[in-house]
Amino acid sequence: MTYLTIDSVSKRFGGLQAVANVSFEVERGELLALIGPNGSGKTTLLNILSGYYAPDSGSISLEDTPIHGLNPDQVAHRGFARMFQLTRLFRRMSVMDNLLVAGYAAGLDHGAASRRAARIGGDLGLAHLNDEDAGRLSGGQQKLLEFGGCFMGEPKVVLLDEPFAAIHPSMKETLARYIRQKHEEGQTFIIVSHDIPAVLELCPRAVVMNAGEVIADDATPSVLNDGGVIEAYLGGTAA
Amino acid sequence: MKGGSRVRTLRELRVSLIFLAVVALLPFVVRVPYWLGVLIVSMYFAIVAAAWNLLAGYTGQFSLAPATFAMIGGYSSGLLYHHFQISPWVGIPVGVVACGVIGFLLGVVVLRLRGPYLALTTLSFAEIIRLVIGNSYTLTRGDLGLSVPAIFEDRLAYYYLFLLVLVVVQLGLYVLVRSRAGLYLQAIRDDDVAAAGRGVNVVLWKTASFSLSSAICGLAGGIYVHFILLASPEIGLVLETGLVLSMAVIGGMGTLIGPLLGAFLVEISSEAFRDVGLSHMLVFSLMVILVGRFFREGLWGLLERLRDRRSPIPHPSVTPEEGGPT
Repeated sequence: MTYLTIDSVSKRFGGLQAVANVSFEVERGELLALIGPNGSGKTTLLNILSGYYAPDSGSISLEDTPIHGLNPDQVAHRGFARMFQLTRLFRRMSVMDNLLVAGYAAGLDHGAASRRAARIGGDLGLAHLNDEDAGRLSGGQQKLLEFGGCFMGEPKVVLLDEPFAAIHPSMKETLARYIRQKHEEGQTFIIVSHDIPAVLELCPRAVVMNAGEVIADDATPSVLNDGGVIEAYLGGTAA
Repeated sequence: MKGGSRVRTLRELRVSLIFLAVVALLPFVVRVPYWLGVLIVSMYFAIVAAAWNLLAGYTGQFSLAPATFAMIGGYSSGLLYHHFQISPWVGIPVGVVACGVIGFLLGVVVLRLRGPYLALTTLSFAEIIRLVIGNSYTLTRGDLGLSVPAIFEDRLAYYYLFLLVLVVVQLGLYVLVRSRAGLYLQAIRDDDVAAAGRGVNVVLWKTASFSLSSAICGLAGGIYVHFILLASPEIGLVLETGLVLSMAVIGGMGTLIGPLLGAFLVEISSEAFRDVGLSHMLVFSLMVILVGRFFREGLWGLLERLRDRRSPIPHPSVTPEEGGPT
């Protein structure tokens, strides 16, 4: 049984075909990169996967259960956790409360949510900021906090949109280390990133999108040497 | 402001309770019935402003109908007595439930809207209800208003009933704000897209907040009409809603103590300026503009800022390699 199946998904905004007949499958425990130039439809696809957009056509199923057309909160309850490209936090709430919201919504009681929040905060180097308002954290710390919130429940699939963008190298290493650790524990990830070295290091497989379509789907090193991919990224020809 | 949201909310509750303890002692000093009445009306507005603050300050939903729900609560009890001689002690709870149900139903319809659309829809609802009540002479006696019986002989009894309700509302809001549901509401206020992504049912919790806020307004209005002995469409005037909003904004939206401070400040100064007629509204408008421009956290936020300035601590989020908050 395939874990996550994306089958012929399309989405159009007026005259723009943002996602065109996209199909691929993700196995349980896979760490998949979704890459492509700006405007290629990666974030739109993540928005469809996490319930913010309904697809015009096609289907998405997790463990053979359809999830397309559900609301974002329903998709979250089916096991999807999402980190946004532009950080989205509860800015007037403390770091601890930001994590507790995610834990409560995932069905944890106060004790379990508090213990998990303390553990995640510690792992990500945010423990000393527990009582600080999220809006007062630095950009990198905010990104780590949003990332940490993804693991307050028991997510089946974690969707990360540009997790490595605009953060300090030490925080990027913290993030990468946590992703690797979770991956070793069997966590499934889909990572959208323009950080090709990070993708190459972390993700064994990459799906490449361009103009709303999947143009390559293979082992990451092979994909990055694919002539079509190089042309899409650089507008040039393969070496 | 210093301290986590948990610490801040506890501090606001403590100051609220100290403030209300002082209010409890005021009748020993204030013996003039007129000024006792002003304090009672201040408490009525404090309850309605606290209810509106639950919706606007803690859930981020801007309604223009708090006075309307107070009016509905008042008319529920008044009509039950007028037509069926049902005791206000039954009529007031019926009004609370009616407001909660109407708030829930209205919430289901309007809470998918945002910002100005939500505000305009609740304003339309408010005006429609007020006009219907004002023009239904056979049922409500229209603009003449409905005479309702007193529930106490003594003004002091009203004073302490309002105080009791205000204390219960403040304690209840504190428990709510610190609960799982309260965190969901604040998450929705800060970013409803992110809240939904975390698994929070945004429409459900917004609607629950609207319903509870409406019920609290209905409770305040239910008791209030038996104090002034009249249920009148004027209770639901947009001007009254404007006063409620001013009180919460001037005191400090999104804080437990703000609506309380704002209600007493605005109502008492309103009485002090009564001789200059409606132009006292200019003073409140100016206060709202000043708060909006210079200290958006309201009077309480200003006091907190002054408190922080007296005992500064280094900001823990500033790290040399990050260059501070972005």
